[in-house]
Amino acid sequence: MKKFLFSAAAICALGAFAAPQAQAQSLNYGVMQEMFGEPVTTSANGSPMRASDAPLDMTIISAEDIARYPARAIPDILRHYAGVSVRQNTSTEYSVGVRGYNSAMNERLLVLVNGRQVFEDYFGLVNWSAIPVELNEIRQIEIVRGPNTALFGFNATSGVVNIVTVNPLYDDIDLVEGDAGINSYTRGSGVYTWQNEDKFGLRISGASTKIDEDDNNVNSAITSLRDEVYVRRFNMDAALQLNDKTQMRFEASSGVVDENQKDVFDTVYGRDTDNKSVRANLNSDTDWGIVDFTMYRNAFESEYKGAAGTFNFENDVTVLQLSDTFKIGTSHTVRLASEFRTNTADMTIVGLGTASEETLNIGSLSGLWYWNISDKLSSSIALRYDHVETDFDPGTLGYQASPFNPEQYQNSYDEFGYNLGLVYKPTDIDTLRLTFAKGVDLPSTFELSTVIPGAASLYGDPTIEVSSIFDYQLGYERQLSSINGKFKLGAFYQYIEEMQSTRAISTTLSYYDNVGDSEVYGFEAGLEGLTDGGIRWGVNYSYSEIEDDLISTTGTNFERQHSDHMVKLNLGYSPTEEWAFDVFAAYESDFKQAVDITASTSETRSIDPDVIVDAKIAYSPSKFDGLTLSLNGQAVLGENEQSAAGEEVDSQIFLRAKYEF
Amino acid sequence: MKKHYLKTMLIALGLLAATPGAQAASQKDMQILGRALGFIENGPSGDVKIGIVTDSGNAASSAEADEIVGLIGGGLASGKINLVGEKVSSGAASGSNYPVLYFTQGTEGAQGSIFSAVSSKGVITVSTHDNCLNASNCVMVVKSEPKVDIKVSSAAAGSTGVSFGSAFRMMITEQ
Repeated sequence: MKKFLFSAAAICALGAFAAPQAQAQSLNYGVMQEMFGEPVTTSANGSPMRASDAPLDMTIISAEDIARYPARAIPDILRHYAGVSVRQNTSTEYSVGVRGYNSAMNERLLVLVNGRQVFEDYFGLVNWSAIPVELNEIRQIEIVRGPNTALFGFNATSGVVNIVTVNPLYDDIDLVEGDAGINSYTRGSGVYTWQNEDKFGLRISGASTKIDEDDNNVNSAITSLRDEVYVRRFNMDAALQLNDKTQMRFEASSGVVDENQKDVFDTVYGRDTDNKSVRANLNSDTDWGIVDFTMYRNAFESEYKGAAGTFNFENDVTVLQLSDTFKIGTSHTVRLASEFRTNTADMTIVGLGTASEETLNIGSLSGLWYWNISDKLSSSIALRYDHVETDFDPGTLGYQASPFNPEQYQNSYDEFGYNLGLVYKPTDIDTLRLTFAKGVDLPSTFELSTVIPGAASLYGDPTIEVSSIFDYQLGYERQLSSINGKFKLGAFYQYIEEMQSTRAISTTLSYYDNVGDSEVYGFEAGLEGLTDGGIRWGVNYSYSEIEDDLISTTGTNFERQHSDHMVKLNLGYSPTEEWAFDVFAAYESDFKQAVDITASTSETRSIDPDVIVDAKIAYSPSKFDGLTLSLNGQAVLGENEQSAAGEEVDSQIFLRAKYEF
Repeated sequence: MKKHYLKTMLIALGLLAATPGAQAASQKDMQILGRALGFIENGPSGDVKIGIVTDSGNAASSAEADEIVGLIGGGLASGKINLVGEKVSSGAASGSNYPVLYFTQGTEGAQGSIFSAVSSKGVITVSTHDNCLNASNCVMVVKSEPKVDIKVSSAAAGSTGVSFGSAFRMMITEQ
């Protein structure tokens, strides 16, 4: 272990390299976007680039777009984009999938805030309500479709959602906001920025939310579920300009959520979560290129209370990233990067007095070569190597009844991933993208080492294989000045080897295993525009088909729980500067879903096709500068039947008052 | 019904086939130029006088110069720069004191000698016409239509002693 730690630290110190998660976030997005007339990103391949040059299928949701939505949480926005499936399980808990394989506690989606992963490592799940970011402080949300582990790291197996907040050095945002709605929903939030010339900026933000879950009837048979849900978040973001070319940024956050959540067995639990993080970043434009060093620590604590008992998880993740991005000549950009990550997860089963601790240490090297071959053609090659070592301390639990011997709990992996992309622009308004990727899905600590003895025992498999994802994509985009918009088409095929899931050995014993292969293929088409009369509109259609080749004893069935068709529509109109009207509709075709019947039994139900319509009317009176009042509705046509864990989530109507000063 | 579908398809195809036409130098071009100049390391800031190099004997050159002076003669704020345009004849440009010179179309014959004379003084030559860049007589060329395009001549930038930040260089075209 010490040898490994030393080697990993040496890699970072020598520094030539870093995992591409460490993006050059000090880029002044606002200035660049204004100059180029389109969003810019550092996430596409680690180097700064315009969205239209990105060598992957990416959608960027701007701050202006975000303001149009009647949203309480980020998934309320993601729901309306092509290829994204959002299933709301309770009033605050969501499952989000990109291009299929959406499931409760989906571990196939990587979510980042300014390059910091916010998914909870012990299971790879995302607690969306605990993400310590307010919608009003987001610069843009980037949706990347397809496996991009060579660019972003593992878990980016089906897609990536990268949330970029405004930089307090460049953007001065000061506001207070209050919501009140049905189901006793109340929320207060605020963002305040303090700037000292061009040298220092500090932004603090926070929110407190309460929702009465009782009417959602998540499952009255489970008495441990919460009738009231609470969300409390705080974030601090400071940026210091050390000199013309060097910037330091420091962030600290907290997200405390007491809610109901659906687990991997489609069982609803009460969950109390306390997530904290600190992140420091140093970014400098040197003679050797843009050198970026990031260090962050996430501390997750969750308590699950359900029919099967009470489980406590503690998960600490510390990450060091170092990268150098530089240009060679006039047409080559190179990025060399390294990452070291140590991940410790503890699980305690309350009442059994048992505990276990799993440690994952990961060292990564990665490289990118972006070649601007001509005005019309560019290529991007990203490679990443991960070395993983696992260690397990059984604590007071021991290895009792585990089908694996102690030696098997010490394991290591060596994995390569890659992302290859070609972008061809035959004209100024047409873009063709061809990409090929191999993604790597490392098992989570839960899948590796869980030890839950008892009548329905569940064990992690320390010998489980890494899952590989092979992805082929072809995309086309055309700017259409005649409609002030664009047309977009994308087709994909993905093959997944050695999927990881639970496998039933007997009626009383299950463990995680590689349960077979699966493939998904499909396409997305979208058209959006803005009329001369100021009506903004968009429509997109997504088709995808999953074909599983899984063993019969696994509880997983992606084919069954997948919606083949999705249609999303949006329409907006601002007749004056004071008024704005927006309507969003999202349709998902039918699927099947396991649903709790009682505290200990469930059944598979067919969920009918459903349309979720969200709407917002906003009024910004000219006599009260900075004030915006809005009436917001979610699922206004009726209960959100399809997205729920078999139990409907109520429509939500709320008033929002926002004052910017 | 068939007619209705046919009409819908034709409209859709027409939308897809529509391409925007080329446009002359516009206020948007000048705003992008101002923004881009702001990315020059230790470059100009505040009020920046830009000499619009004109060949009075060339109608296209004169028309473009008049148009630009109409746009920024009274100043145009763009980022940290306020561009102020003034016409200068191609014959007088080499001896002028403008920190930035803009080459209009039709001045190609004089651009080489002007660039040779002013580049050593750190004068930044710019345009919206590619031929100036292709001849390495312009440090930078910008266009706003049909999409924003910023090109930098590394040879001209080197001769002028101009450098840009790394992030900016990665987002534009260098040649």
